[in-house]
Amino acid sequence: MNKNLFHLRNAHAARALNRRDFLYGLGSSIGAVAFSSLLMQEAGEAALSPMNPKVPMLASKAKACIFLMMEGGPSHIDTFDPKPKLNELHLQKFERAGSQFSAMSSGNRYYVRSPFESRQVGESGADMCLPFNHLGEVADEICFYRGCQGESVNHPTAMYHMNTGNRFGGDPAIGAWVTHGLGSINSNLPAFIVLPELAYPQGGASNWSNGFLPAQYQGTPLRSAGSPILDINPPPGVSRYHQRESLDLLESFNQSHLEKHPGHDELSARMDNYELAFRMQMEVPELIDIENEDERTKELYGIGASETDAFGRKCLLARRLVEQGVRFVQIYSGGWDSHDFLERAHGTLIRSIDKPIAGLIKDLKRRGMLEETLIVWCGEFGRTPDNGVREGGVAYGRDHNPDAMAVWMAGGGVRAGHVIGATDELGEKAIDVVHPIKDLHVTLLHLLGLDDNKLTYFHGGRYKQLSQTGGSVIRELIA
Amino acid sequence: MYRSCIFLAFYFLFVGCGGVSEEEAELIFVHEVQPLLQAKCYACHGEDPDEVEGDFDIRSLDGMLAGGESGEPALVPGDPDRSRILEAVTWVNPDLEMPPKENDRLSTQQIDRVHQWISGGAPWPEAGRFAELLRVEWEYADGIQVATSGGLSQEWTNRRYKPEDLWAYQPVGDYTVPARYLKDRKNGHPVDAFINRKLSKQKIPMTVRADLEILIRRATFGLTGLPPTPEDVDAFVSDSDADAFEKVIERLLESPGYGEHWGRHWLDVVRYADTNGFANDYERPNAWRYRDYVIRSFNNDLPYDQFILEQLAGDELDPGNPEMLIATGFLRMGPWEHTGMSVVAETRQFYLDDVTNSVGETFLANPLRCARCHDHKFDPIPTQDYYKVQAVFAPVQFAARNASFLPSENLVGFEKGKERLLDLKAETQRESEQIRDKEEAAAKAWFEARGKPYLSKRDRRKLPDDQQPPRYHGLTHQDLGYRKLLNKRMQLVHRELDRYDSLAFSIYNGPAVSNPHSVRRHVMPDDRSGNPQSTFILTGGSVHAPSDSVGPGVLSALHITDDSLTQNKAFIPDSMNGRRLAFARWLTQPDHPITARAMVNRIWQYHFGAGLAGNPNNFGVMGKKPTHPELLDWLARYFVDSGWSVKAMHRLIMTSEVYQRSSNHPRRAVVDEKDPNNALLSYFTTRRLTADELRDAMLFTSGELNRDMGGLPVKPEINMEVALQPRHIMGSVAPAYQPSQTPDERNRRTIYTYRYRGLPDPLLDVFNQPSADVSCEQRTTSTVTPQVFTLFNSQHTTDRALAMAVRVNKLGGTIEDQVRHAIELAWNRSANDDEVAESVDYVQKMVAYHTANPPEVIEYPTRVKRTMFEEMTGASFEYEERLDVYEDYVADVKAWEVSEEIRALGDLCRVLFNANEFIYVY
Repeated sequence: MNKNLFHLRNAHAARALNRRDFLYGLGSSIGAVAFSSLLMQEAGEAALSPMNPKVPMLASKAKACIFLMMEGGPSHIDTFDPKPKLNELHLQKFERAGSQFSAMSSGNRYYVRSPFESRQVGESGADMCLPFNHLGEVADEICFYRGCQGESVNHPTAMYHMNTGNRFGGDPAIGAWVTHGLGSINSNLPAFIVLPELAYPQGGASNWSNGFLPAQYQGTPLRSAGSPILDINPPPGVSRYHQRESLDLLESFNQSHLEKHPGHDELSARMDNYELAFRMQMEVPELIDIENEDERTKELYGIGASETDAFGRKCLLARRLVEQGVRFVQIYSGGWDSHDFLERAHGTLIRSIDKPIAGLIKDLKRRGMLEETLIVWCGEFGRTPDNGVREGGVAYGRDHNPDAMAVWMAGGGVRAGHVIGATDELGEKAIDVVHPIKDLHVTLLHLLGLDDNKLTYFHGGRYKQLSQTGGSVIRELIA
Repeated sequence: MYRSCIFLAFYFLFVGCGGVSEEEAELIFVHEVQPLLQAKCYACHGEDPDEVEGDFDIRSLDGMLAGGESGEPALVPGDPDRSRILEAVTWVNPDLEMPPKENDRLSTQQIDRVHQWISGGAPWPEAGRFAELLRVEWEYADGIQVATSGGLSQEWTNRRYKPEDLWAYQPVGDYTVPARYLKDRKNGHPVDAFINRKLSKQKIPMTVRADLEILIRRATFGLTGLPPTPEDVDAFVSDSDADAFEKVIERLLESPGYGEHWGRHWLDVVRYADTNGFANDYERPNAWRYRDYVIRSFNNDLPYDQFILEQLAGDELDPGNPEMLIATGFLRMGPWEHTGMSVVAETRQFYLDDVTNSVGETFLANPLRCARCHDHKFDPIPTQDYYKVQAVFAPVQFAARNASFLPSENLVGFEKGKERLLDLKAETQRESEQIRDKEEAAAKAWFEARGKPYLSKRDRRKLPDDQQPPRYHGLTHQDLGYRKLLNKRMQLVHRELDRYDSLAFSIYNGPAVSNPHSVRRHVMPDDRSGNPQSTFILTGGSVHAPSDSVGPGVLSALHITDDSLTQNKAFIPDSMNGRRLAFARWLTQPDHPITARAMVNRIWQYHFGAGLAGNPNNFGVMGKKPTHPELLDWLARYFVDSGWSVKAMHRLIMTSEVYQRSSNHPRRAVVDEKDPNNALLSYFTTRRLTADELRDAMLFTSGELNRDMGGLPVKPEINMEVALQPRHIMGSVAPAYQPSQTPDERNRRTIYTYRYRGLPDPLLDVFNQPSADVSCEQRTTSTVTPQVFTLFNSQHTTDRALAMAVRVNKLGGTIEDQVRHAIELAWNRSANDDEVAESVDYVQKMVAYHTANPPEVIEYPTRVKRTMFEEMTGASFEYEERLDVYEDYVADVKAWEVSEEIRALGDLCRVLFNANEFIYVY
């Protein structure tokens, strides 16, 4: 795929142990892997390792996924599913009541029109609200989907649902399942990487948890400030020389200890882990340093412009990671919870992601990587066409709405240049090609060559899967 | 054996003799094939009329004959080879593999049944005949039936189980110790007899006894989660009494560390945390009292049956006793939250489902959740029983109940903590007022400009929009963001102030509560009259789809004995009070098949790394079967006979040869071949320290560990970047994590550290500390690279290593003496000369290094600058947060405070902490 990867893999090919095992580890030492047999497989990558690349279950184009997670609930109405009817109903009052509604969505309500104009873009004529300036240029690479429905009206549960398939958390994230299914093709990096906002989302790291899957499959956040991986740098005052001396002494202690405990393979595995860590300290900073990308590329992602710099860097880093063989990169954009000031808040956010995402699609395409990369854009739910607060057209916003949301996909295997499904006239509810989140998950796995029904893991008394109890592929989204 | 005979007879009868008669085929259909279709196919092919896969409805003969969208019949009666249904279930055609889920595939035996049914003409009797045939004793059937309260369908009710799958539902067997497998029949140990019998039958040799130094380290970590001191080791090694090890066991069982360590195990199962989880992750200000109750109970060897009664029904047992109110905190251990955005019916049902499942996992070794939406797929637990157990908890409501502090409870730090919170409250109020004044000044100006009299916020609230200032008038986006932050801070302070009142995180019996918002203290109302919430079987588990109502009950498959039924022990009253107590009494009957087995299995697992039954939270069909079922039963009886004493179980297990075996095996290759996972215990399985043990052992070894027990959770230093990183909570950002102010306050055992659901300590997290959201039956131990970064590079390790160096250096003597002592402390054995020589050499090099590279002084920050995206305005806003704790902070010992020699010695200690010998228990 690229020379970097080739170099990294050959440099250490002579090692007796498959280094892939150590990066995100050796797996549960409780009977999951028979270490002795693992150790004997010098040549030919050990099939037993949980991190080995695996043959996909289905023929598929996409080998990796970049998942753009808009945390807070981006409004479908003010992005990719405009509702002109709301212009007529603007600030008309109605009432909503019932035991199934939370305090947020019941009582006196007012319809709210979108502050944004929209227009049709690309050959497909997909709708796009105006603050999206650049994304329109690549609209024909995108398959817009308007039929998805969630079940939860609350942020953390809805986030858990979108990220793990389980509203109450504790289960593996999609990225963990994908890594479990596809394995890794770069032994020096985690296969599932998260690029969070500085502030972690509600629910925290459970959003990229390995759940009951082995710890190797956990999402590793590359932090946007400070140390990219916690404690990857030596403590203050410790030089490379100092570290080398310390590691040598450790190696010596461990070696003589091992001689006293023959047959304890976990001991030598742990020893090798220290050497790998020592090398990673050098390699990771190089990988995440985007300064040596050319200016044109940086400009493409909006790097350098204050509005787009932060998200642009994440998108460019995502491309670099995928290039290095990372399977699943999840990028967070936070703050989409516009209960008020919809125009300002959504406007700023849309502008912050518009050019970077368009740049990502263009960049992947010109490098011939788009076909092998699946891009997904969504939030945890959509928003209501109405609001409980009436405020002369300035401060109004929208509440949470799991019955309708905007989702789109681009790249590997998707039906690009189409708009699939529909919401009702007001954007209150999905009405055509309606599917629950689990079907979106099953489709995503399918596009990556994985069959949700076969990608299972025994835990807590049953074989579990991302869709929880099985779902169906949304055929309309697939090319 | 029994089963295979039946199967052979069956096979011979129907297959071996050629054709299957129509009557036989009818019976096969009713008893075997129809239940199979129902379990494996109906869900996608018929049950949901909106979505019939492939347009193929499998629920009737007509549907089968019509087939699906392909137009081909799925079934040709009498001709299995032309029946596509058979093609599908055999997976011979890659385009037609049914059921699609690999794990749902039919067994060969099941496929044979379908084959026989088709070749017998595929009869499909109508309902009347079907019911009649169902009553025919199915003598060739595979497995046994289990009487329960009944499933949602007759087929489920009549289904059969493999006898071996129901082991946990059978009475606990009364087995004699197989003494002939003992070297010394008279004085031999019962545990050894059972274990050695199996080894001997499999011809697996067993290893020798462990070295004494290793044995005492194993026992000390095993019972207390801490390493032995050099004095402990010396005393044991030089004790030539025959009962030297027994003395060690007794000493450890009497030490307070025992309850802390075994309490930790229990808290893993029940999911203890100091916060609620979800959007706000609010504090549970009095939850620590439950944590300490658990520790006390283990230290006092509270009989396990009593421990169950107190946790499930302490309030009903003895409402005047604060301890009992604290114990029922168990019923609220799961994550739970209700906010303005929640729906009351849903969060209530979430709680009821959570507590039902938790009671199942904790005490019944069965995740009852599996029977929430449908009758249990594998175990004899109908959905009805799930909701009956749930009804036991229907009267439970949350409350912070008045419960005076017990003399044994640790109230240290109350005054200091309260004072700090009140300061913070005053500061927050001042800042809020400033913003409010600014807003009101703008409002005044607004009214003035229109020549109208000023109206306060409250007075103008109901006015039409054009007669009052616009929302947020006069405030900048900075003010708006900051005000939200202050509001949230105020909520947090109010929650946290509850720490200092004598409240128990507890429950009461009462009617439904209309607004259980998590931001407020839940108060027990004086008037608790009314009816308990009714319980319904919820279709598909949805609170919005109630069907039949059910009363409280127990698992009907677990009839204890006929006697107990006639004595009404299994009877649960329908009244508001007494449901839980009756349930707990049912659970703690001496002949309950699961209760004692479940607990002895847990105890066994924590000693040996694996339970006799491999899934302590699941004894059902899908859980791992016991490797030594007779031993498990023998232990369960011993447990009950010894008055449910957990300490008695430790004495029994640890005095066995099996426990004292070496972790080395002279013939390891032979063993690996026959018993690769050491399930038969011919040697002792090595284990890695848990996250808690690792941190505690480092503090213990460095001499910093404060052994005070109990009290408010303390805050250790955690990775600084994580501590200061903003963390979203509902509508705002949580305050920065600040550690406790002095080393004594923060360097406590890990069980006493503040357990956030939303903010795991990275040190513990990376070493597989389980999430507090899900019951942890056993900690996992994966080896991942970030563990190296943490243990080699973190400030935690640096600080512990330096403190240990100071400790060792205080003893004086030569570098060689100090190095020797450090090794002895870290590895709990005497150092050998090679190790000492190497270490001295290293330390000397490091002294030179440090002389050339003096350390930089690093100050703790007293303020942190925060940048936050304000979702209301779409702009970032910045503010500075005061880190008050650091304004008057007592740090641990730092590099710039000590000599080059101590720094170099600290480097050695870092290496010792990282060594395999430190982190594994043999």
